[in-house]
Amino acid sequence: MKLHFTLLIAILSITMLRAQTVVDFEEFDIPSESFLNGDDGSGGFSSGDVFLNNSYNSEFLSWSGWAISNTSDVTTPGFTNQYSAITGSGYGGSGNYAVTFAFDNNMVLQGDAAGQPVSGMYITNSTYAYLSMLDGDAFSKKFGGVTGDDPDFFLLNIAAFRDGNLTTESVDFYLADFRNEDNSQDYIVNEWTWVDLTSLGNVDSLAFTLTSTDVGQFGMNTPAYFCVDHIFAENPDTDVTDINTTELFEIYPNPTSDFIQISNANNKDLNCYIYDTNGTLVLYKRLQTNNESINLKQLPSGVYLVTVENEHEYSSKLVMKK
Amino acid sequence: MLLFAGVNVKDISHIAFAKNSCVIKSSLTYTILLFGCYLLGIPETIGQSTQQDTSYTIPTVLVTTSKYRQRTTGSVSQDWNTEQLNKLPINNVADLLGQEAGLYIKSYGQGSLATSSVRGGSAGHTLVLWNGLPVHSPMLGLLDLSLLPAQFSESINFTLGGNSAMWGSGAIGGVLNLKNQARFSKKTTARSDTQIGSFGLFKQHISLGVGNGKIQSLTKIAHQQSKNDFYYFLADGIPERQQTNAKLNQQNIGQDLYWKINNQHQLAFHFWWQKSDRQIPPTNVQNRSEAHQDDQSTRLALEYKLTKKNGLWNFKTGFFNEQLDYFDDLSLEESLSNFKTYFAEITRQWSWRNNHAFLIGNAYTYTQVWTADYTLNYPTEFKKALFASWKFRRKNLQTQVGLRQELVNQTLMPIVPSFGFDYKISSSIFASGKFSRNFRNPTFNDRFWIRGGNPDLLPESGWSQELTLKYRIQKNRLSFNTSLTAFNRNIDNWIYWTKQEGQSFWSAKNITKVWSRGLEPRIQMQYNEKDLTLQIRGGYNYILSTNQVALQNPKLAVGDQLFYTPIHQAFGSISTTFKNFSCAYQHTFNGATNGINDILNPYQVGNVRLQYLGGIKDFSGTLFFNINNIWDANYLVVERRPMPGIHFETGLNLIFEKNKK
Repeated sequence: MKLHFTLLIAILSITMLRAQTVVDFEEFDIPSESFLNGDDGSGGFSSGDVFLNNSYNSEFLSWSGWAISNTSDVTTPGFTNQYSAITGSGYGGSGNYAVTFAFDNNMVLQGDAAGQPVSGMYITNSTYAYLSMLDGDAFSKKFGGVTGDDPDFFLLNIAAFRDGNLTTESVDFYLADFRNEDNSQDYIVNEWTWVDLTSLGNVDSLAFTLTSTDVGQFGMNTPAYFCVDHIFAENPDTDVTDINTTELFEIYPNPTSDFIQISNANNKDLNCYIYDTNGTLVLYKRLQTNNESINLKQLPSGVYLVTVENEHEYSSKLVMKK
Repeated sequence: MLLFAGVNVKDISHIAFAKNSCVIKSSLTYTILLFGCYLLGIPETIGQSTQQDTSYTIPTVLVTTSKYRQRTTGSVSQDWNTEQLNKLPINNVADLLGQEAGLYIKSYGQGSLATSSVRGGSAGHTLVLWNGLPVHSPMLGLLDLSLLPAQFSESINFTLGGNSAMWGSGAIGGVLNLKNQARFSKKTTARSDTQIGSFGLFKQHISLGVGNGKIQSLTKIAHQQSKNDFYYFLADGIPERQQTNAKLNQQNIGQDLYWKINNQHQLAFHFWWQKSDRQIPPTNVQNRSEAHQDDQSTRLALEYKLTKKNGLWNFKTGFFNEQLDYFDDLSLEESLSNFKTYFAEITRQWSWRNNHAFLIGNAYTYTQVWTADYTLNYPTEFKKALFASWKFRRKNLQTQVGLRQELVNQTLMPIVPSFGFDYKISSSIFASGKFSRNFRNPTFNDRFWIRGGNPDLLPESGWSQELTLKYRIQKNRLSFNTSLTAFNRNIDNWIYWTKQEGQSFWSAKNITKVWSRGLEPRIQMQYNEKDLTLQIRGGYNYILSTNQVALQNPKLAVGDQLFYTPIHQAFGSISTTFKNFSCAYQHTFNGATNGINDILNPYQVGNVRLQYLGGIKDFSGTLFFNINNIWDANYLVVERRPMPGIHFETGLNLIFEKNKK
């Protein structure tokens, strides 16, 4: 496990040499399994060429806007776990990432990045929103509804501000999408996923808006959270390169109650490691065909990291065991 | 409830106004009873409700709650005594009000939270009293009616409409009073009720009463448990799902002591301990829940009654200590809370020239609340209330004027007056009406909850009017009663938890006005023939309760019907008794309602009860069998909260009663 993270960080370091401004929040000195939620009254977080606003109400001990976190709990549902990303870490296994709680929220570009194009950023669900959509809670439905056929979605719209005005250019990113008639295609994002924003052109700031099909007369029921990392606010003098992870395999079904199928297109000999959230190796299997089944029945319910590697590369995915 | 052994309810009213022809001549007793008759008898004389018109024999009891305040002139009310409660297929007060009073009960499922909406009001607009003391949670402003065992009270009264002039905050939609009463005619009573049913239901209620004409003791212990693991329908082609995490365990212990020191001095003491451990099941769109809630309450009340020449002094004090522990083993969310309430109240009642009756009272309530979720550590509320009432009767007309002023933590509440009348138009036609101002104080949660509590909230208040016309006729063995009530109510400063522009959390605000109005026709027929009794009852509620200010959150336009307030509701029952056998069928209909997320479909539910009553000498017993939801209706009262299909209960009640010689 440590070897994999080390490799990821090494790849990341090489990339950073070429990218002048990669906002990864690692400069924030946060104790392990902790967060900054603005209770110091700072009003926000400045990181590289972006400013993330924060509003903290000291009377109600309540925050909104952005927080910086490194909590890694991917199993506890509910409000008490509002600062965690479902990936259990920042992008590429890094420590810190940003989490936002707001129905509408902004990210301001500053410094040399102001008014310039943004290549994109990595986005994933918070554990709170992910488990709420996966299992439902007292206030929110599990996506798909009682039959699994409800065409639910949890949509993040990212719009551009230019010259202080909200433009019509925007990018949609589905944090969960159950609209496909084939339910096996339904998904809830549980990995850091690259969102390309180059189509927005030059921007001063980005406006983030969440909408959900689970909405009532008092507003959206789905927890209004998502997480962000590795924002590439392109500097006028630099180009920004996307970090692509190697996709060695696919897992389905996910979540699962017993078996998972692991498919890999190249049919190479692969090693498959399954770790629990403590980083303990709980299962290993040599994959010799391009579609192999692994029995998870003996494992307790929870989230597991499935890592597949060949001689030269590896990739990881989270799987939820019900 | 009423005062004489073996006296018909209707007869009491005749005694009350027969002046010197009253059969009881002891001067002091006569005074007391005349006053009592005057206060209590008038409504029956001119027909307060169809339920009261029913003739039945009531044993001698000690009145522990002033009827003068309970049944105000011009209101419609219903009463149930122990004997009646024992014949109904109900498990708790929520069942009673839903099935017998035709109220809309917002039930979150079998064994789960149940609250009422009366005449389009919110759950906090129904005031619940225990022996005349408000028993609802000051934190939530409501009481879970599913946790109130109906058989734990000797008498239950429900009065529709506002009555803040007599009872203060919360008495907007109706007042429910649970009463414990002594029976000085009894020497020994012992009772055992055992009930089993579907979904692991087991109930056991044991009571023991001993005493004589001066002292009475009644001890009650009750236990119930149920798994509530019923299967429910999800959708066509989808397997039924079994409810999980829905267990309920409840224990009640009660002790009542009555001491009739002499004809002037009476003491009553009530103790009620209740513990409820309840799991909170998942919704039908939630995979699992491991939340549970444990409630524990201790309630004490002490009452002293002094009878004077022209009336009564009544001193009452009480202490409630309740705690609630919510914990979710999955999310690790926990909410602990506790409140203590102290009551002290004095009332003076007297009559003048047989057609005037007065009441003046002064009540003090001190409440202290603790929860980690409040902005203050131990917020308190000290409430002082002064109230008065004047009842006047002349020929066929009775009127009552009431007035109340409360001071809450040095803040004056609205002055709440009321005026009611009962008028006997002819021997079979009656009219009654009431005009009153009513209010509800914001709850502690509304004011002090750490995210969104608003200490500057104003009380919800407004005016209500109601008018009832009744027609009653009795020919030979057939009696027929029908009534039609029309009501109108406007409430200002209605409180919602709302998310304001640019705010990430919900907070309590006085943001709207609500206009409620409606019609409530009722009908009852009864036929008696030697060993046979046949009774048919029915009612319908047409209630519009509309928002009067356009809101964004919640999204309500002007004229929109409030959430969980059906426009159409109907209920009916047919019951027959032949010798020792009786059977009854109840049917309720609730029209479509607006939920928070979706519109809830209308539903109908039917219940059947078969019963055999037998007895030898001092022993009597009842064997019963209930079929609930006999048509196996698939329905939701609250969205995403499934209700059980057809289910069964059976039980045996054994009673030993030795009367005083």
